[in-house]
Amino acid sequence: MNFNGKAMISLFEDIVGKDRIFSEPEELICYGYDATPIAFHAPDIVIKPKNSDQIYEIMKVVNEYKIPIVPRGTGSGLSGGSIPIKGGIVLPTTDMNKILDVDRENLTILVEPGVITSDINDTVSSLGLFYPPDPASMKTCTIGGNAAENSGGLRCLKYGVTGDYVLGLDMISGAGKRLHYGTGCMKDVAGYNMTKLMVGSEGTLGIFTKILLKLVPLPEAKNTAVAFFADMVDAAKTVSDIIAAKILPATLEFLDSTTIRCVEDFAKIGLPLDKEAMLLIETDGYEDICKKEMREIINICKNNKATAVEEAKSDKDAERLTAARRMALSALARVKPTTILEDITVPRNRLPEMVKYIQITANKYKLNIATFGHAGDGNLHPTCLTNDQDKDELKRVDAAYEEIFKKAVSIGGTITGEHGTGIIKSKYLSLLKTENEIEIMKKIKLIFDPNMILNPGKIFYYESSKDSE
Amino acid sequence: MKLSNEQAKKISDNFQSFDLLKYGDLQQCMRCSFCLSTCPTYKTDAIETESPRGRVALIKAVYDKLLMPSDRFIQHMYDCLDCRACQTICPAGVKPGELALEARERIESELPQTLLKKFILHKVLKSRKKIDIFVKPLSFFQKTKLSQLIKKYDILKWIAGESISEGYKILPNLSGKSFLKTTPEILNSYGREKYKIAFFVGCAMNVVFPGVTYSSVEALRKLGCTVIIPHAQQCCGAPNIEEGEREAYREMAKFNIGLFGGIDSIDAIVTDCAACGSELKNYQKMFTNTEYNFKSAEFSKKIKDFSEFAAPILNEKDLSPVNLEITYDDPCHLCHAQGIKSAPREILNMIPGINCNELENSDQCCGSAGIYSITHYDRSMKILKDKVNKINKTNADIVVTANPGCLMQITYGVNRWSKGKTVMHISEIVNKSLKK
Repeated sequence: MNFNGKAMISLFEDIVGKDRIFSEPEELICYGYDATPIAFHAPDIVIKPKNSDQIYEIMKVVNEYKIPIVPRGTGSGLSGGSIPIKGGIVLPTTDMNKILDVDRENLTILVEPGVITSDINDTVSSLGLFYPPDPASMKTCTIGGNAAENSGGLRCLKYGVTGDYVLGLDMISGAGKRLHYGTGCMKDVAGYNMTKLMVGSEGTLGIFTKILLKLVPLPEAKNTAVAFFADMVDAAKTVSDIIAAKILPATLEFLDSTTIRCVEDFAKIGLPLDKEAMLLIETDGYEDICKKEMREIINICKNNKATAVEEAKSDKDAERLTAARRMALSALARVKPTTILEDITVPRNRLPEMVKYIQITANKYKLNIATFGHAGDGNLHPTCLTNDQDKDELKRVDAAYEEIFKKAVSIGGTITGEHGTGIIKSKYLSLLKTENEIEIMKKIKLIFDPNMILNPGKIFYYESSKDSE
Repeated sequence: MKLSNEQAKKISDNFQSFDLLKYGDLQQCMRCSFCLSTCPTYKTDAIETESPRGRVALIKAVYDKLLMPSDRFIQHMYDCLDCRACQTICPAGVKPGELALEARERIESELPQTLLKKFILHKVLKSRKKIDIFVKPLSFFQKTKLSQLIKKYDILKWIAGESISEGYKILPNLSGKSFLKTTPEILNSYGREKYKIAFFVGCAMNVVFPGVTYSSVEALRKLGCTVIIPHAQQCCGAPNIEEGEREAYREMAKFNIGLFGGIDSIDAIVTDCAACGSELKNYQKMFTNTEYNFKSAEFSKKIKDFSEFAAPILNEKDLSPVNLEITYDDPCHLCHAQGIKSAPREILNMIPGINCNELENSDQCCGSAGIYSITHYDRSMKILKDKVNKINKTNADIVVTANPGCLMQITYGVNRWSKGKTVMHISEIVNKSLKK
């Protein structure tokens, strides 16, 4: 199918007005990408709706003319979820960015999908409230995108992911129906849990127009420490021992030796270059409990042969200690022109095995792969430093990652923890799900989107998925 | 203006290489989106084409021959304020601001500049005397009744539209006498000479804020500096770079390098204009792999912003109290382009009596950006309004900054949307506090 962008415009002008439609080549190029490496496909037109009524009317037209439509936030996704690989319309909901209500009695917040994630905390923190999910792009990404991808972040071990905070959704389905799932209640088992299904559906079932989120009390205090280990196994054992001691740190992050070396190269902050692993640990909550937990954690680190442990004595100290983790991606991204960041997750106790396997695979394919990530929840980001002009190396990157995905699945893990399936993981979905299981998912997709126009080509692998190249 | 097919084709070919940067600098962008949160034009327009990531993608698309340059493409390149906030936040070290300037250079080499622009960029900026020729009648005109009437009844708005009329109001009253015209070439230190420095006088400081530069030089003299102010100095070239003009730029740069390089044993070349300081430090990049490589690097190494030079040599015992409620606004060309954020704060915290209120997003551009407030009036005003709203949230009576563009723009902003606040250059406060 081929859509003529210019001719399509007239279909939507009456709905949103001329100034919300963009179809110049410059605009189409800038809405053909997200943060996914290499992937690109330009849309035919871009429409920025102002409200849900406009989306409702747009959905009527696209269903009638069978025009592909792809909802988009700010395009910070890492699985190609908002790339219009079949052309058609890209629909950024960034102008629907109002915080509609903060309910201080029931601890909820009602927002439009275009609200920037960090704006939620900026709004509620002065009220002593807290919205925990903190994806790395929280200062630019939208809550609509977070809900669609079920984004994680650094605080997931203790606080969970975006989906754990979505209580209800207003949406318009692929078929153009207005739907509302969930309530403001903490308990709600009326019918199937459709809210949970919608979260992480990657814009393939419906377009969210309002999102009701749960808030929690803002923790009173925070303690920060770092520990270095000469052996990866000791670091991983520390992680399991902390959890086994019934302590849930807010943050439990891991950097491998390659990452440590790249950060030190870049920032010169005095990291030990001969260590295999670094852990960054933060506890939060009531001040005395928080301190007590940190004392226990430090003991656990020492018992597991940590070569050095340092606890922050002030906010400034804490900032210095978290610097290495905060700079990890920056430091890695500067080494080579192209940075391909992956997202496997394994059971916590299999971390050392997984990290070792990544290093062996990188060596086997002569690649530079650094690994950092959220040790507390087993979510690792093996990051390949490469060059997209080197086609031979890119082939080796693909082969290496495929082996890494297979290994992760074989030890009870998954191919993606928080980035989504999108286009780049779709061909690996069958590693995890049986044909029957995928068939049911496809049927669900058809119920919500019978014309297959809503974010087509995502999650499920179609031969034509290669169009995205 | 409409770009002809032939011009578009030529510009497209020009994009196969850049003056200073390389294809790798485009490739390095991983499109992570972090820059969107700090870009003033993305904040006002909320569209990807007006973001640093978008501009990099557009330049790359032209390079990759996926996009033919168009008027719209050119517009996007010139919509960047060159505030460099994107370069501070970019995790991958991409320089979207500098890439936009490179694009302008490739565009300008094909598109003939208007005669007036050409005259200013090639001739006027080279001669401070010529600048005076313009300042005098303008200053005289400002003092006339006609000018007051124009301001009062917005006559220019009827004749020339809002941007020109408001642009006229942004320009402060000119004294009519430039700094260079009224100051000798050598000013001895007060007391024992501890340092010998040269002073670079920015064009805007020279004609619009001669009084401020007088304070800067006085403060430096009190700090024990003998100050040499070569009268022949030419413009740093920042306006040329912003417009994509690099021929006259390099001539002026060579002249300045030669002029200042000829002064014996100076400890530093100090300037109180953040934009000039940033450009002068940039000279070394502009002459890589040329015979000026070494000379320009030596020159750039000596450049110090007023705060950068003063902070380490200020001594608390020489400072008398200045009782002021202030807030500090980071000029983009100081904090993003030169990476100087702590020096001015150290200075302000050292001066007794000063209460410094932190300004929310103090490193966000005020919208001045050279002549942006005239060429992109509406967007510039939106950005400024946001800045003034944040200033209004503080208890400050005085906004302290360190760049002539910011001084003009924020003064205009607080006069329009705030009551009773004034704007000062940091050197004025230092000079007030320093005893002779």
